[in-house]
Amino acid sequence: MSLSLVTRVLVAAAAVMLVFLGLTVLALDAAFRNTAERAIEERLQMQVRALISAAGQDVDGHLIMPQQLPEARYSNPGSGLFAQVLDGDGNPLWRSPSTAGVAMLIPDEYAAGDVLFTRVSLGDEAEAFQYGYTVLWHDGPGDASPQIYHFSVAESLESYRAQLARYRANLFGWFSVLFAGLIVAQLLILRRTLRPLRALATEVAAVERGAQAGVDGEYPQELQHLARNLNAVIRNERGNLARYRNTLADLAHSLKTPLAVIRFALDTTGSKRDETIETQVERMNDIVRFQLQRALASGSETFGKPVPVASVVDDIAASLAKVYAARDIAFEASVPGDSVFRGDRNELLEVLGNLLDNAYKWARSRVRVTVTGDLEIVVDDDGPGIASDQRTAMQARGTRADESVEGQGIGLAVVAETVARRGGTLVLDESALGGLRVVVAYPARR
Amino acid sequence: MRVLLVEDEAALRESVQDALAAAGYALDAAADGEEGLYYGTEFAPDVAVIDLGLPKLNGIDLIRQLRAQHRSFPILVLTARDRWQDKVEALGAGADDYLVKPFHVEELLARLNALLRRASGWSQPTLSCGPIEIDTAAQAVRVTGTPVELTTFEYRVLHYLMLHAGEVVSKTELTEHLYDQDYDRDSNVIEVFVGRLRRKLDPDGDLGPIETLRGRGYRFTLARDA
Repeated sequence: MSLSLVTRVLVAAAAVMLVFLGLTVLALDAAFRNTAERAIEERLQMQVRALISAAGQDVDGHLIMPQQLPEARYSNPGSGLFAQVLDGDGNPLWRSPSTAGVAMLIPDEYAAGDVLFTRVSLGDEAEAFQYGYTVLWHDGPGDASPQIYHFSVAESLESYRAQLARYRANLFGWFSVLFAGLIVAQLLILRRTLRPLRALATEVAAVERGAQAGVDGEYPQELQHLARNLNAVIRNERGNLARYRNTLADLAHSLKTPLAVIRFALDTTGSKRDETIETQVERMNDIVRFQLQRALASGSETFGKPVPVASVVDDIAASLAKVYAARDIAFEASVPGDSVFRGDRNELLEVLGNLLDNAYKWARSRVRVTVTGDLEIVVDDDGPGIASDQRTAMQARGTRADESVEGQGIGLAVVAETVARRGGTLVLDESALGGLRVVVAYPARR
Repeated sequence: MRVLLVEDEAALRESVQDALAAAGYALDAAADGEEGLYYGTEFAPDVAVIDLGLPKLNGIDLIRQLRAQHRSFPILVLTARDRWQDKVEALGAGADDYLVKPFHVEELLARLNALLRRASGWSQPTLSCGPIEIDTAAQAVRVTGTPVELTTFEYRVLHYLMLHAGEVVSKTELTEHLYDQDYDRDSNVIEVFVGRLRRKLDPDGDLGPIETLRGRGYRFTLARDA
């Protein structure tokens, strides 16, 4: 099974969104880290300046740091803020009390004016940003040569990390909401966009069921072409069937007129010798008739319009009333107005025409047709009927034209075949009116 | 009785023509729909036999046009296409009966006979007016149960007059309906036939079945039994 269009589009859209949203997240994350580091650098720079301004030299030119440091955290071990001062050769001159147990980075080389900002390891897995600045100290006593001092401050990454984590949580939260929102929006748009497609499918189903003749809804430009082509296919199928039938009818015409001439010739010049010919002509005629009727009634039309049964019954009743005008036969029809035959009108004409003509032919005074449900046709007459063993024989023997009984033969045989082709049944029975009852039942439509 | 036959197949048209002529019908035969329409409107057939598959003007349209022009004579349709669609269409267009090809001569004659009777209001194949009755199937005439021998033409005259019993039938109408179109129409001949008919049907002159209306024609006076 292939994936639905909606699924395909959503999967593709999700993949694209993941890539783009992911890249956006990465970019935002990098930008944030950059900004945060700059902020830390600036802060540490200020701390270093504060330390430099707090520092002093004694008369011997030694560095002295005040007891009261500019930041209380320097005095607190484990506070996360450390400071140290190195002399020109990298020897520590002073360390803040908070540096207990912590080894700050001692740069290899530095000259006056150098700035250092780096991420360092403080041992025991602790990490920190360290900012250092090297100064040349002139305010020594007398003509003492200027001293080089390297001031550095380090701050543990803990708060930075916490900040980053908070930021990231926020970022992911919002982007997840965004992602979900986009997918939902996409789904809604898709469903709306695909609605005409579903409507088209519904229409085609209706056409197939026979509820409508063609696809006639308003469709967006992209589907109009498809709808047009579908209608063309439907028309074509109907046309093909009609052409097929017309060809056969023409064949009938061209075969039967010569047969009529032969029969007429036999009728007018008839002698004993001609009986064989007469019989054979009769047989030929029956075979042609049966095969043609069969072909005419064969409509495995997928796209048939539903045919109102009542109108076909009316048409045939009007015709038979004319043909049997001399016979004074009472015709009763009980046909629900909403009874429809899902197939070809001509097929139903053949079925009902043959059944009713047969009933009229044999009836003494009454013919009754009863149509029920979806779809059962019962035709009763008050004629002589057919004895039950003969009925069984007729049904069992099937529908071969050259075996059928004169009169009851070809008509019923054709009906039986036609009905069977649609999965229906033809049953002969005894009528309550006294004659023959023919029950034609088509399978119910699901 | 005048029959209009419209059939495009020459062989069939000729055989039907012969059979109908032999059965005592006057005949107009047309080979296509247009010719049929011409005969049907210009002459006054008593009945028409029309094939459905005709060149120029098809059978159904021919029937429609005849009916549209108020030609009310009965129409028997011949069809090679044995399908109800055609039968229903033809009968709906105004035909009265159909016959599927190929058919027997007897069947055709019986149907024509029945159509003619029905058209003039007779329901039985035997026309009976008082003591005179004719069996239209056997073309036999009896007066008070005794068979009477009539010539073909005498029979035609009697048949026509009895079909229209009670109505005035002019000599012109009689010649038109009983003679082929190329026949020498002499109204004196009709008088001769009517005279012979009277002698044969009513030798004693007490029935007076056929009345002469001066300048207007004849009337069959005996009332219909059925």
